[in-house]
Amino acid sequence: MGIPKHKKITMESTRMREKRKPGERLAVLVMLFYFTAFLLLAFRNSTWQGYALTFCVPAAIWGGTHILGKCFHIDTLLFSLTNFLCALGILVLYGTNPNLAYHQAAYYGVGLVGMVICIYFMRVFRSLRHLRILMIIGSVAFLALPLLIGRETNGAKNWIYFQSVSIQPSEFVKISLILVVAWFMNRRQFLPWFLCAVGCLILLMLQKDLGTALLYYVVTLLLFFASTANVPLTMLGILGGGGAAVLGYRMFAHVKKRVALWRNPWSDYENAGYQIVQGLMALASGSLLGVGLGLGSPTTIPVYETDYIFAVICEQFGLIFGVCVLLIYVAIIWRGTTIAMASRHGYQGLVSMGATMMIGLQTFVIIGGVIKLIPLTGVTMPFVSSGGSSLVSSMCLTGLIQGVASLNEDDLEEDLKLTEAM
Amino acid sequence: MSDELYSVLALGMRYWFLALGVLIVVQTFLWLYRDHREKHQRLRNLPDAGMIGEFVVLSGGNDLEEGKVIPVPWEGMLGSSRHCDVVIPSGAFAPVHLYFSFEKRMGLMIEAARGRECYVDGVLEKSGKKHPGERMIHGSILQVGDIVLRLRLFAGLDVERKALRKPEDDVKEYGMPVASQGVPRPGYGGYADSQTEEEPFTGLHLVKDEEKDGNSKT
Repeated sequence: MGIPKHKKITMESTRMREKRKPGERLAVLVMLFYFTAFLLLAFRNSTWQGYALTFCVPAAIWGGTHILGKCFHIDTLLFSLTNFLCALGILVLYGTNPNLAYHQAAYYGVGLVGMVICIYFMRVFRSLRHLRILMIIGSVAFLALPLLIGRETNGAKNWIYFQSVSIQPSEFVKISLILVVAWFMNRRQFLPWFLCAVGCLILLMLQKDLGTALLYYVVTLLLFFASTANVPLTMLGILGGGGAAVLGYRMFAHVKKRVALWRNPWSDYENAGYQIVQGLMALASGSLLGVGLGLGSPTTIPVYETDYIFAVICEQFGLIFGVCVLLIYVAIIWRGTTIAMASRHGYQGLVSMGATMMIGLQTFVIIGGVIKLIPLTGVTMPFVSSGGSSLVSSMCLTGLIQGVASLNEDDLEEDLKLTEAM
Repeated sequence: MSDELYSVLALGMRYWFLALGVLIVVQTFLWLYRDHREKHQRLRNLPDAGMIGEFVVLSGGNDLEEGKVIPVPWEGMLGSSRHCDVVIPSGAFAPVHLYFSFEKRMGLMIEAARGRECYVDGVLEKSGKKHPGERMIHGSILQVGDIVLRLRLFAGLDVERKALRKPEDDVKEYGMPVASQGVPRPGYGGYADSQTEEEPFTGLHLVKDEEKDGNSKT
């Protein structure tokens, strides 16, 4: 007679779950990497904090994967890759400035909490019906704060300071923007999401945070295309964005300067072009295998800990390792897109797609700027760059994707139950 | 540790870190590939995963074959464009003709796209505030032009009998228009009681706006 079909499906799903042992192997590799790396640096610095990081970072990776995996149906692969990148940032910072690394480790803890909140948010608030207006008003108000009480930093007024803590509102507003835009696009209500996006863009232009404005614009446009498949309007949006870029070039002197430096940083290598030149030299001096962890001259690059951390990674670990880091980002984008496509509900799929595209686009913009593929902007490298706002918001975006992944798993289990019921 | 000793160690450990980095990437992409394959296997074993039912073509005009089955997902767009979630390759349907979403206990909610109209169980549904949407349950009929589709919901879906209403309840709670007398509304007796495929389809009396306003019906 053989095994009934529904039992075969149950057995196969059990086998599928057991095959999630690749998660164990990957976690072990990541833990081994960081155990040896932090141990090496701890030998050099001979501080108890170094030895503490040697054991705490791998333990956090292991514990997070297993504890969160038991609480929610999180995507273990995505979580492992996120942990790898976060720990890489802590490692590189520890090799150059241990204080920054301790702060980054603390922000990672906050980021984990943020990620769990976002997973919980996606699971509980499957509809934004009661929160959408509050989120729009809150986002615009929070984004307007730097203009009112903020301080200008590096030519942009996009930070607010509370005693010793500094926050970049645009990093957190991107989360609510994705949620609001996805909700209204799924409901096919054009005006609310359009007004919200335009409001945010205007505020960012006033703050002169053009890099973040670019991210907001492109992600909104991509979400529009994902939800409507309207090619003519999307092309119009691309043309409009191009027009705005040309207008920005003509209107803002610092944009002209950035483009000129991108074309030829050597023309002013001692002043304005110094950062780009030092970054390129760091990439070159690392060659294929790198100069060695904790070696090289990363501190000669201005703002190496945020904008040019990728150059520091390539200098110390080599270009091949740099390509590996890029491939990790590609894997994250692939996974996020797969989770979005597997979602049964439009709103959840759009949220996952928006979060994935935000991470992917931000990575492209910063790494493209570092390797002189495109003009440099002021965005950070997701998960890796120093900075609490950047790390926490990147973890929150991952939390949104994980929330959708856990809902997908619930839907699949329901399908299996329905199959057994037939 | 002296700087010279550290430099030697760090230079030696480059190969170790690079090897681990490459292994991590390889393991990642192997996992992605394995998951991709498992997903296809799962879809083969659960071909209806992600679907709530199917439309059966009762009358296809010149474009569709009668009896053709079209799977229906949880939510999406229906139209003739290939970008739609449910593609009806017929000139009677606009590229995006209507939007649908399945709500537990309620059934499949239908909302016509702007400027489009359709008939759900004989009741006109078109875009606009006067038409908040129509509800389809097991056995409900969707008609656009001369294309007639019947919805079959899968067993086990959470569409409770108490959610199945009489037309008068729809008027009370949702202000939905009442179908004219004599229009078959399959499913209101519970989807177990609905029209079966054995019952011949005899056509629908389509209720237009004027008739709903109280004018005499044919």
